Amino acid sequence: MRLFRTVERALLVITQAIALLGGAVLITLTLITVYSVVGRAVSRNFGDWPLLSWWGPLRGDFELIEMGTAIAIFAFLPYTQMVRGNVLVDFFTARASPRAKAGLAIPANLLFSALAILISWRMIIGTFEQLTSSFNQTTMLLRLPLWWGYMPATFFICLLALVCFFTVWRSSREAFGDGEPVSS
Amino acid sequence: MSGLEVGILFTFILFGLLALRIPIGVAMLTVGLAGYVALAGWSPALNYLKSAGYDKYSNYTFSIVPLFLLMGEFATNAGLSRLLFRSANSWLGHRRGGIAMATIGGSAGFGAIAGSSLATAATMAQVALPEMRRHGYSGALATGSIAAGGTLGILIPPSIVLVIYAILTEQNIAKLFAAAFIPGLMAALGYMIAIAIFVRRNPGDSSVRRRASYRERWRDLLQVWPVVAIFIVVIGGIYAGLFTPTEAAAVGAFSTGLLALLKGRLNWRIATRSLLNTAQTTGMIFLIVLGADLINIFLALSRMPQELAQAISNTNLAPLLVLVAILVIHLLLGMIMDSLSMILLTIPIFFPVVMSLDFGFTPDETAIWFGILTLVVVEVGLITPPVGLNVYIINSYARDVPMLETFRGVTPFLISDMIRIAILLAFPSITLAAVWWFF
Repeated sequence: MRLFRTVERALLVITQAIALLGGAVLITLTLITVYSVVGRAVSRNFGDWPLLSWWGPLRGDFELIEMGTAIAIFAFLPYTQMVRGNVLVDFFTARASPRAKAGLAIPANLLFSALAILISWRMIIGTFEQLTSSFNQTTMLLRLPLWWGYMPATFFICLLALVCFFTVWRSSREAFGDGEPVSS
Repeated sequence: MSGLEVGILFTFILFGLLALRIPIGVAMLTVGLAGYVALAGWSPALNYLKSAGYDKYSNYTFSIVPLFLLMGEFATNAGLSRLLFRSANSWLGHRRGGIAMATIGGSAGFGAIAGSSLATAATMAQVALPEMRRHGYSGALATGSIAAGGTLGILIPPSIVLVIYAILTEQNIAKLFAAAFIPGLMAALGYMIAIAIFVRRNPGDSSVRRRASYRERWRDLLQVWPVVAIFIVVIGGIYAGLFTPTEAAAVGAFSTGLLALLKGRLNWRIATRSLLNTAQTTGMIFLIVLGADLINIFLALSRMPQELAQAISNTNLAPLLVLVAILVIHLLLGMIMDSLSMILLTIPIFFPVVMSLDFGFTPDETAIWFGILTLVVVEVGLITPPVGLNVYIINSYARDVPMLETFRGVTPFLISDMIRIAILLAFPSITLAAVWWFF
C-alpha cells in the first residue's frame, strides 16, 4: 500500500516534469517560428534600414521544428498513459462494473507494456546506429546530428514502458485488491 | 488468402481488441505490427521500428496539432469564450431560444480560433450553461445546444481533424480550410434555425431575456476584437501567402498566449495546467498516429485498399451510391469511436476507393469534397447516442440533466446535420466554391 502510493506519486511527478519539458520545447518552437516569420517580413520590407538589417528568417528553422516536435511528442506519451489519457471504445462494455473495467484494463496495459518494451529496444538499437554510423547522419541545413533527437525520444519511450508496467500494477490493484477503480 | 481477405480478417481482430477496451492506439499498433510481421516477416518490421516513431513525429506539418491545441488552451484561459458568448447573447438573447442561439454563435466564434470540438464544448459549457439555466431554459435545450455548438470547433477552420486528413491524403491544408468555411457557417446557421423551430414547438423549454440596447450590443461586439484579429492573422496569413499552416499555428498559439498573459489570466499554475492538457491530448492523438502508421504499412502490403477499390468499381455501382455508403459507415462508426481515431483508421482504406470513382471533378477537387463530407459526418458522431463524446463532456458540467434529456435536446441538431449533409452531397460546388475563388 505504502509502496504503491510512493511509486505512484514518484511516477506522476516524473511524467509531469517530462511532459512540461516537452511543453517548454513546444513553446520554444513557437517563439522560434514567430521570430522567423517576423524576421522574414522585416527583411523583405525593411531590409535596407540600418537598425533592422540583421533581422531575417532563421536559417533551417523547419529542421528545429521537426526535431523539437518529435522530442515534445515523445515527452508527452508517458504522461498521457499515467493519467489514463489514451482513448478507448467504451461502447461494448459501458454497462460493466468499475471492477470489471479495471480487470479488462490489465491485459490492455500488459499489451501496451509489451509494445513499449519492443519499441524501446528497437529505438535503443536505432540510436546506437545513429551514434556509430560511419557516415554522419545530420539534418540538411544545420548539420544537427540526428541522435540529438533520437536520444531523448528513446529515453522517453523507455519511461513510457516503465509507466505501462506501473499501470498493470495499478489496474490489478483496482480489479482484485484494495485499489479504488477510477472510471476513465 | 487474397489481400481483401487478410484485410477483413484483421479488421475483425481490431474490432475484437477494441471491444475488450484495449486503447485505440494500442489496438492499432498491435494489429498493424502483427499484419506487418505476418506479410513481410520479422526482420523488416523490427528494422522499421528503429526509426518509425521518430520519423513519423519529426514532421513539419504534424507540429500544427500540438500548436493548435495549445492555442485552444490559451484561448480558453484568456476568457475569449466568455466575450464571444456575451456579445452573441446581447444580439440574440432576447429572442425565443435566443440564449441557445447565442451559444451557437459563441461556439462558432470560438471554433474560428480553436481546432477541437471537445475544447469548444467544454469552454462554452462553463459560460453558457449557467446563463441558460438562470433564464429557465430546459436541460435538454441548454445541454443540446452546447453539445451541438461544440462540433463547430472542428467544422470551422482551423481544424485538427482536417490537418490529419490533409497529411494522410497529401492534400493542401490551406485549400481544405478554405473549403470548410462555408459548410461551417451553414452548420452554425442550420443550428440556429433548428433552435428556432424547436422552441416554437416546445415553448416551455425556453424563456425570453430582456432586450439589450444597441449601445450595449455594439460595446459587447467591439470587445471580441482580439478573436477577430487572431483569426484574421492566422487564417488570413495563410491565404495571403505570409506563412505556412505550421507557422500560422505557431503565430496563433503565440498571440493567444500573449493575450492571456496581458489579460493577467496566465499565472504559473494556469500555464502549467494548459501545457499538461496539451500534453495529454497530443500524447493521445500521436499514439493513434503511430498505430495508424503501422496499419497503413500493413494495408499497403496486403493491397487490400486497391483490391477493395477494384472490387467496388467492378460492381458498376453509381459513384454517388458508393460515396453515400462510405459516409453511412462513418456515421455508424462515429457512434462508437472518436473522430480522430476514425479518420486515421478509415481514410487509408476508403480514400483510394473514392479517388477511383468518377464524379466529374479533378482528383484534387474530389479529395477536398470527400474530406469536407467526412469531416461533417464524423462530427455528427460527437453528438449521436450512445457514445457522443461532446454529450459526455457537457454532462460532467450539468450533473442535474439526465443523459437522456441531453440526447432529446440534441435531436433537432441531428436533423439539421442530416439536411446539411444532403445539401453538401447534392451541391459539391458549395464546398468547392471557396477553393475556386481563392486558388
